[in-house]
Amino acid sequence: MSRKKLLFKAAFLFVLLAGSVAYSVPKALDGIIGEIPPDAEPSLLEASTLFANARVTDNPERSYTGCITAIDGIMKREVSPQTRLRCHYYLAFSHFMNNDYAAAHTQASELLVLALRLYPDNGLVKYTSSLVENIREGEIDSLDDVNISLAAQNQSEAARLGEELKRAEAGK
Amino acid sequence: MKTKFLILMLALLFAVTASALELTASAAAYPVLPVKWEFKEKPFALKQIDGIPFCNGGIFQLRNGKTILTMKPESETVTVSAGRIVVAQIYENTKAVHQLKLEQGALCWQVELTNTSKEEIWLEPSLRLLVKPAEQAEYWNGHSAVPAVKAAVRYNKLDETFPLTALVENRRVLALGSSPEISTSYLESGIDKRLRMYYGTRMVLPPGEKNSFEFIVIPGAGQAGWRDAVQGYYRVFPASVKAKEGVDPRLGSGRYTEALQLGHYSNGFHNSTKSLQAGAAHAGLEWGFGMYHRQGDFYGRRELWDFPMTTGEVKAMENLKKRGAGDRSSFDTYIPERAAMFENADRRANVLMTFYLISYVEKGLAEQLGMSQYIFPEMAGIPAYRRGWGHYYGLVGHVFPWATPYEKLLRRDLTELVRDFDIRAIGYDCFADGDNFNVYRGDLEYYLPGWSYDSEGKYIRRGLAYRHNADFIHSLKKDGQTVGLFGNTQPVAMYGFTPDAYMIEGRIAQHMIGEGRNYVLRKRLYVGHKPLHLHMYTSGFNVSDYLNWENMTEEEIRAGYGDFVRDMLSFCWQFGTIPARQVTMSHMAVYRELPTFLEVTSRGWEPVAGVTVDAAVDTARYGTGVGAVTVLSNRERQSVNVKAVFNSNYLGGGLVLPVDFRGGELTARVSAGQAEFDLTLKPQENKLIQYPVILEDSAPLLVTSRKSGDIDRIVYEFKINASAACETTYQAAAEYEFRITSVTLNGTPVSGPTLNLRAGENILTLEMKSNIFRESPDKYRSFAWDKAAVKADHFIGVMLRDFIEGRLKKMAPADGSPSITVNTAANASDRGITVRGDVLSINGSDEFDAQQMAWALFRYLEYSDPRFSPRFEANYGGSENMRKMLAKAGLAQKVVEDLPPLPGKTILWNSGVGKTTAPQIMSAEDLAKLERLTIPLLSPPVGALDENSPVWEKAVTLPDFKLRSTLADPTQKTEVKIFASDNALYLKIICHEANMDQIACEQTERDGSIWHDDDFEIRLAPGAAPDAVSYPYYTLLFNPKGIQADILQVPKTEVIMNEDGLIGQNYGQAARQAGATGLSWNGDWSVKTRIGKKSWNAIVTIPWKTVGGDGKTGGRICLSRYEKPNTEFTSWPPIPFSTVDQPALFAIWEIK
Repeated sequence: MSRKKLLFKAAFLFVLLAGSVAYSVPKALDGIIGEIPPDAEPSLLEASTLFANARVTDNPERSYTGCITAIDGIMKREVSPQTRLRCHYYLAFSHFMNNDYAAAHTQASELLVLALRLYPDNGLVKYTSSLVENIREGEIDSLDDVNISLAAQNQSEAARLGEELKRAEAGK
Repeated sequence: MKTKFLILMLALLFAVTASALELTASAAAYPVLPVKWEFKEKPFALKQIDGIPFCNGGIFQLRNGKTILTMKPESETVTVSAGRIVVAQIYENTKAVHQLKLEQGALCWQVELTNTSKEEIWLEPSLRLLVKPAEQAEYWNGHSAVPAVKAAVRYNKLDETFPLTALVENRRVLALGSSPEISTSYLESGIDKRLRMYYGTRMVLPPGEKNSFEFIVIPGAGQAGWRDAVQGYYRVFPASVKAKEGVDPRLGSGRYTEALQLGHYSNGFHNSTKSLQAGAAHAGLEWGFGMYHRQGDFYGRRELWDFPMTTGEVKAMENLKKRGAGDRSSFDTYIPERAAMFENADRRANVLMTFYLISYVEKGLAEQLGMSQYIFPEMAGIPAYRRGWGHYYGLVGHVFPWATPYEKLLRRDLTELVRDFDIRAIGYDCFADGDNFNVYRGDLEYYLPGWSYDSEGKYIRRGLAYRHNADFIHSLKKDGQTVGLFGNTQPVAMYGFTPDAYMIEGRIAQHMIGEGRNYVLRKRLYVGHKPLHLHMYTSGFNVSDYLNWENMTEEEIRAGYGDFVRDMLSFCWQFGTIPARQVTMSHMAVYRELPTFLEVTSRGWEPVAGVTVDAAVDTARYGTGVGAVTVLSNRERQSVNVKAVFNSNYLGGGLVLPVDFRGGELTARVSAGQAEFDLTLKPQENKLIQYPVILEDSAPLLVTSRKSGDIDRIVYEFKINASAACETTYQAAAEYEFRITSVTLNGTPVSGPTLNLRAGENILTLEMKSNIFRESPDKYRSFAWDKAAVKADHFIGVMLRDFIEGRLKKMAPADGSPSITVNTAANASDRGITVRGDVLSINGSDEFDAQQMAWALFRYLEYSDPRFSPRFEANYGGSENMRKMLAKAGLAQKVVEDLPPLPGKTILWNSGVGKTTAPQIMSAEDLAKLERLTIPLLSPPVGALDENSPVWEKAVTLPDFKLRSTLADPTQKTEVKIFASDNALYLKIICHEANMDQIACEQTERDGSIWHDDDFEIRLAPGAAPDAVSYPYYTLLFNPKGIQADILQVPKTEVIMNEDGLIGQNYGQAARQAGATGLSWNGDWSVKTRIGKKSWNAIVTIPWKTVGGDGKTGGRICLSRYEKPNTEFTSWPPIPFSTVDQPALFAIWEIK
């Protein structure tokens, strides 16, 4: 397992946890990404709709590629940090579904940096940040360890959800 | 002023403490280097190891196993006292106390971790040494060596892995591992991405609990790379590589062979002839076998005796009785019979019979004793309960063997067994906890330190429980002896050092080539100085698989077989593996070598031979100090000249004076630290060089030595040419049961430890006399044995009478003259065997001592006087091929005498490795004996084929199935009807079963271990010739629920055996290799089953397209059923072997 893949795994762990919230699964990230508030700014609603409608398909309007292009466009606007955070998440997930792991990693990393800035005291954000740091330093060098950690922290549900999402998306 | 003084004192104290953060070894046992270790604080870490330039210190790392984040100590205190550094650290939720000390030059770094929280915590302690390996550096992970730059980041296998790793560079060794006694279920090692050579574990700690782990760091130097690391480990933990103090020497000394099922299979201990056979092979121990009636009731209690048995189980019990393994049907007869068996074995045959144990408990007993919840599958795919292993009756489950009710059972039963029976050792089977074995994740009765975790959660290895079993067994005493432990199968770090002797079940030919040798070596590392018995039958030789004997003449096969026997002896010499009785007594070359072999190897196998040679000669060493012997084995088939240099540092340094152990003249150039000598080794010769004298200091010497003597005395004579006069001290070692009686230098007796060598030639002579044989050999030989009176009022008298009468076929009356007397309370000066007039006296210090002397005398007579020659045993062979090969060579049912090479022609025993002989053709006589089956060609019904389809009325009905091996009728019948169509083969099967509530049916996955369930098996080879004996075939299996497995099995001679001969030795084993053949093949065939009240039935459809051809060319077939409630393995055609994978015997079928 290359270090980059590991880093991606750790950052993506964050994405998956966030994803679990987005799909109304346990509120692991309450206060970070949370449910979309009714008074959310239009850009966030737009990005969320784009992401929710994206599929693994040849139809460019519905594909993740199309979703990425559109959300990239939203990111160029003046949007709130919370919207930007969620867009990074959507992009990370979409790149992942497009099998572009390098781009997914970039987005997940940016997501993490932004989350740290916005929610410096949140335990999960701090933990994920430490995890990434440990991987960068070579203290963590095994994907197995990350899996054990997921299992130990009873967050395998989130990981499994991510896998299910992948399969579900792939099947549509 | 006072305050200032205090501050000054504190500052001074701090300075002293700080400067004292080091440990320095004043001495170390070679090849360990005595070096200085420097440490630093906050956090506490290793700063530097002197003498190991490629290591720049190291750290203790503690990681939270749940978050996998490295933890930092919140506080730390360091104290130094009495050569020990103690560090107390407080981490979040964890307290760590480190204790560091030096042991024989090695750093022992013990850390005790305590959970200070109210939650369960997972921890990953590791020791990480910062290394800068050069390009040529080598890394050994306890299993295999690779260039350090290619070292794995993580290695965590347990099988065949020594608990030590090593980095080797420029004859410097840095070893890192764990101490022999650990309480963990997981070990990992490697060189991490930050270039840290590490060793670590994973621990689960419940609230308030603690556990310890001891890291070992060994700095070394030497000539043998990673083997020097292991050699250092042996020196640091000498007690772990030798038998426990006080264990019966027949088990732990290495001076005896294994009787190999002499007693429990064939009433050997009730039969004096067989007892004497055991003695002739120096047999001293016996691998016991199921010496109880009911598993889990090892003592044998009347109240637990009876349990419901099926008719088949009763039959299986009767079979045990028939083969001499005890009548277990009655409490009143079995218990005294077992007592007599143990007593006779010990007293009459001089065989220590181990009480065989396995942690299985009979199902009913497990329920009764509350063990059901502690049962777990032994291996993946094996049902929780299965038919009794060893007894073949009783449904048994494997219970986690410690901290469960099994612990209480063991404590009670073993204590009482040892108390009430003649039991001095326990044989422990399934003594394995390797990577292929399941871990335990259930409950225990109390916290047992050693839980680890993986992605499925926490677990504990049963290997840890085995260590507790071993510790308990060693706590038992019998007549002042420590009860010993004889272990089987693969050692791993959790318990690998606990047995007092090991056995390796010998597929000897496989062990002798390629990776097989490494397999034995890896096992050997754990065994150390303890005996390693080759639990070996001549059938296990398998020479026929390695020799193109089919195309050879009788003489050529005999030469090839002789080549094998000689190579086997070299193998035994190199790895210290002791051949069992059956092999010794059927091969004269082994029989003749055995006394020398045991005499030398009992000194204890060492991981480093210490001798370097300039030719392709294998080397080994036995012994750690003066008296050690090196073995040089020329495995080539031509003579070889060797220049050998022995590094005397491995024996403690000084000038070693070598002698040829077998008595030839040897000249050596000796200087401090080494002895150099030239040798000529004959083809396949094992040359033994002994080092019985070591001089402390001297100028270089030229030494010519010679050893002479007999059973009563040994003389070493050294002609020493010294370049200058010198005074030196010397050490000399007496041989076992000999004492040094005189030392002379240049004809003058030497009384002290000092020798004054003069310039020029000196003659040093050492004479030793036997403690046992106090007379000259001719006095024993000329004794009137055939007229000697021996009283049988003592067991040793019975033994003597057995021997004399058994060998000479006559025996004088018990009273009269001449006579033999036995004294079991002799003082030291009278001890030994004397002949005074007409009285031969065996004077032992106690009964055991006198008994061993008597057997020493027997063996002397056997080897020296033809009248006492034992009855040697026939080489019966094993596999069909092996027997055919022996028959062709005229060796079947014969004692194998010397089989020298053919003049001018070398026949290597393994010259046929990878042989691709064409399918063999059977003789017309054998062909005529094969069963034949005509299958009607019919049209299957248009709709579904079921049990009631009318077409079955036209199908052919197979003859009755017969039990494998015995060919007897089973209690449970099997009916099979069969017909063919143009597209497929159809079978209707009715497996009658009177015990449907006991059938095994636990497999749920395709290609699972269906054979562990009740199953039906179809072996089919469309197109195979009627007279073929070896061909590929399909095996289709299913259980009563219709779960299928299918295997393509291929003759070993074509595919299965690779150049190292590693993959499987017969068809059955090949099936378990999921490679290109075996289980990876999946056919498109179907089975419908129905489970009834008195049978389970099946309809099977096998399309021709899935097995090739259209069936019309005919082929070969075998149908079999493994019935579990009664343990009946039946087949048609009947197969007179233990496995039905005998394609030569498959029936011939045709379609009409």
